[in-house]
Amino acid sequence: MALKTEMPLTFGSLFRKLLLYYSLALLLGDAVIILGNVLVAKSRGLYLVFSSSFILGGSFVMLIVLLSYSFIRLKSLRLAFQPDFEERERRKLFARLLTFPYEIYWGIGVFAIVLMIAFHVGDAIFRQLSWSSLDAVFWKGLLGSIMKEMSIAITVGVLIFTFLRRLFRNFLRQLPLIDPSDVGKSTVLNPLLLTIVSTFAIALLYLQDLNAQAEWEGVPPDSGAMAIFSLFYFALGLAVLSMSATTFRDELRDLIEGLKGLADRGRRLRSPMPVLARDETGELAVAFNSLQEKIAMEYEELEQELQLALKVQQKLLPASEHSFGRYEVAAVCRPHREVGGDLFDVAPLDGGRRFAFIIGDVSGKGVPAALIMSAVMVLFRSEIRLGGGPGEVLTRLNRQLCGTIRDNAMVTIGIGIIDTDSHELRYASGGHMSPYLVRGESATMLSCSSLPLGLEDEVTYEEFCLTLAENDVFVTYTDGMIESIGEGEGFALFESMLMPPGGQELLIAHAERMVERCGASTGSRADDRTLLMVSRRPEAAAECVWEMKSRPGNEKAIVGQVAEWAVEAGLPAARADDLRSALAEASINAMEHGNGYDPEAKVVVEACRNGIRRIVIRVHDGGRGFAVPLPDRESMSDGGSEPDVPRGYGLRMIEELCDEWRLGNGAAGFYVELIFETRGEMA
Amino acid sequence: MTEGLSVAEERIESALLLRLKGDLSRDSEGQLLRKYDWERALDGKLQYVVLDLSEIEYINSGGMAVLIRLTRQGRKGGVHAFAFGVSPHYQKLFRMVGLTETLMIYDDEDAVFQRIEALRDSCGEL
Repeated sequence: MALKTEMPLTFGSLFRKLLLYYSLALLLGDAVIILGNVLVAKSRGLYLVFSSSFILGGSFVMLIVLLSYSFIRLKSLRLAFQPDFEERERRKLFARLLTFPYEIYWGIGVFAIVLMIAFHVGDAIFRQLSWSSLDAVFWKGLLGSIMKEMSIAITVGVLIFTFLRRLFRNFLRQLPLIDPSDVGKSTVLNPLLLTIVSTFAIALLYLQDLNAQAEWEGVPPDSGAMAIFSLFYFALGLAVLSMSATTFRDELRDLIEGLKGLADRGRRLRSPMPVLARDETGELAVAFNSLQEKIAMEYEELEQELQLALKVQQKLLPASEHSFGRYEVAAVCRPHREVGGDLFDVAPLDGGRRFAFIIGDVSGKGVPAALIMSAVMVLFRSEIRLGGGPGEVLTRLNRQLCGTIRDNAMVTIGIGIIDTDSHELRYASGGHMSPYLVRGESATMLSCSSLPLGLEDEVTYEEFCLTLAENDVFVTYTDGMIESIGEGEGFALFESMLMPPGGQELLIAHAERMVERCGASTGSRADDRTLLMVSRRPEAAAECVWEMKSRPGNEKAIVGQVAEWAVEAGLPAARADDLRSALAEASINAMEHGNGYDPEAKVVVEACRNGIRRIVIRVHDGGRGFAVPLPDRESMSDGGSEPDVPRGYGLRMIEELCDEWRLGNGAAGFYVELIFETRGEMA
Repeated sequence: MTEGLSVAEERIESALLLRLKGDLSRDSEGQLLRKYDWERALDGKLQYVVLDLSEIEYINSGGMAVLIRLTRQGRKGGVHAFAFGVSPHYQKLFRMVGLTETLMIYDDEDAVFQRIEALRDSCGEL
């Protein structure tokens, strides 16, 4: 059951309701008295007019008194929702709203006694009774009349009491929460006892009145009238009692719902439970709020720790995009919780001529899996440097993990190493999902079954080898990618999305799109999802070619032209100077080291767009290559060991200014390749 | 072809201001290194050398090597080297090759000479 939502109360609407409740209760009391006078006492004529006028007039006066008293006592309600309403005042208001129904109840009783005295004095005067004529019969009749009137006064009082308690509950619900600890305690028995005793007293007094009336008139009690009035008061008592009990029940239900919500919603806690009384239900609400606050603090602390763990884990993971020569790597990892057990990593080998990648999935979820994931990442980074094929690396990793992780924990891992010159891919799997090779219009699953890591330390992992062709995409993933089980989901959806992206979609965009669509991200089957794709881009043909003779200074004109082309091709203008300087240095090196400044030997510069956001500038000389060691920073700034002619600055500048650079030998001879990222769609 | 380098000298007390124009490359050695005896601070008459690079269009690694040698030799002779009019790109390259450790770069000529004044004051000489 959801918490009841009430229309917001305002001071005006509260008073309209008070007017309605007071009027209805008083009119009901008036109606009972007048009907009793007509039906039972058989009052007629002028006396009926007198008594009725007195009753109605008295009720009207009582209504005015009740409203005035209510206004005086509750006027601070007007300020209750203003932000500057002080906590102390709010607490006073809270206490007043709790005691106000009792005040009204007893007030009505006192006022009724005053009215009764006034009425009976007036009655005696109206009937011109002398003191000597007041015999025992008169006094018995007066006593019966007073009993009846008291019973009606109690009826009115208990009705208003019950209405007010319900009305103020709604108002208290909308008040900002207070700490009610210094407001006097009460018990839930008070209103219940008041209601029960009142209804009992009403019935008793009224029946007593009927008996007294009969005795006074010297006739047997009117059994019909007794039955009707008994039934009426029984129904009235039942209704009032039900209202009190319902109020109590609603408060308990709210608390039960709150506790259920606390259990169901976990860390997303609901708003505090309104404290509507200082009885046992109020105490329960205070205890609930205190518990909820404590849990919220615990969760907040846990949340902060998990966020920190996520940051640490994210720092462990490498960038989403990498490129090595003609190869692009795109990887996306989406942990199901704040931290996860999926991992991937990419590591250049041999100065970028080869590169390794790893994808893995630690069994379990959350922090324990994340800790093992971190250990695997660290082990991989150290083991891959020690050399060997992916099978050997996996075998060594497994031995290390068997001695590290506890029982029942295991890791599935796939490791690949790609040679960017021979385009050979070697891949080994330790119980990991079979990878796919996407070639042309088909996606082939490459089976390579083996045991996950961490189970047996003497396992030897086999590897397979294949040669990647241009436009091939090698795809590895974790099981979270294929775990959704609806129709057209799972492997079917995964395979349908593997085809190479149409148009100019980036590999990373393709990977992100797949991770968004594939796998269940919610529910009990939700898991970490990781996808790693390696794409071999086709060899791009030169789009522009420039030539220069090997004479110092010739490079200056060419670098300007190449920079202009590059900016048109998508290179950010802010990087044009970087390209100019790097290309100038590469050209000077080609002239000097490749061609020995032979004025007839040419340096050829080729430029092309590779992939969709890389520019490749290739500087050919006619020689077989050269090796100029890069000076380290210390020697460059070391004033004490100054060489006659400082050397090697050119290559250092190339390394700093390009996103990537490499040396190579092609059909046209030795070359230096300068690569710049355009970071966007090319023109 | 590079445009070559032209150098205009101005002597301001113990400072030598060299206004450079054109390209800085290895070919600039003759005009900037061989012509001056930086290690002996031009026979002790020089305390500061200021390079105006605002009209330099092109600097390659050879040119940077010349500047590095100039400033290192000057330092041996007690000559402080300053430069102004250096584009952000070349400032980056200067930092890259460690030239900024021996060559102090300022935005303009005034800033350089204010600094020189401050240095003279702190040394108690004019």
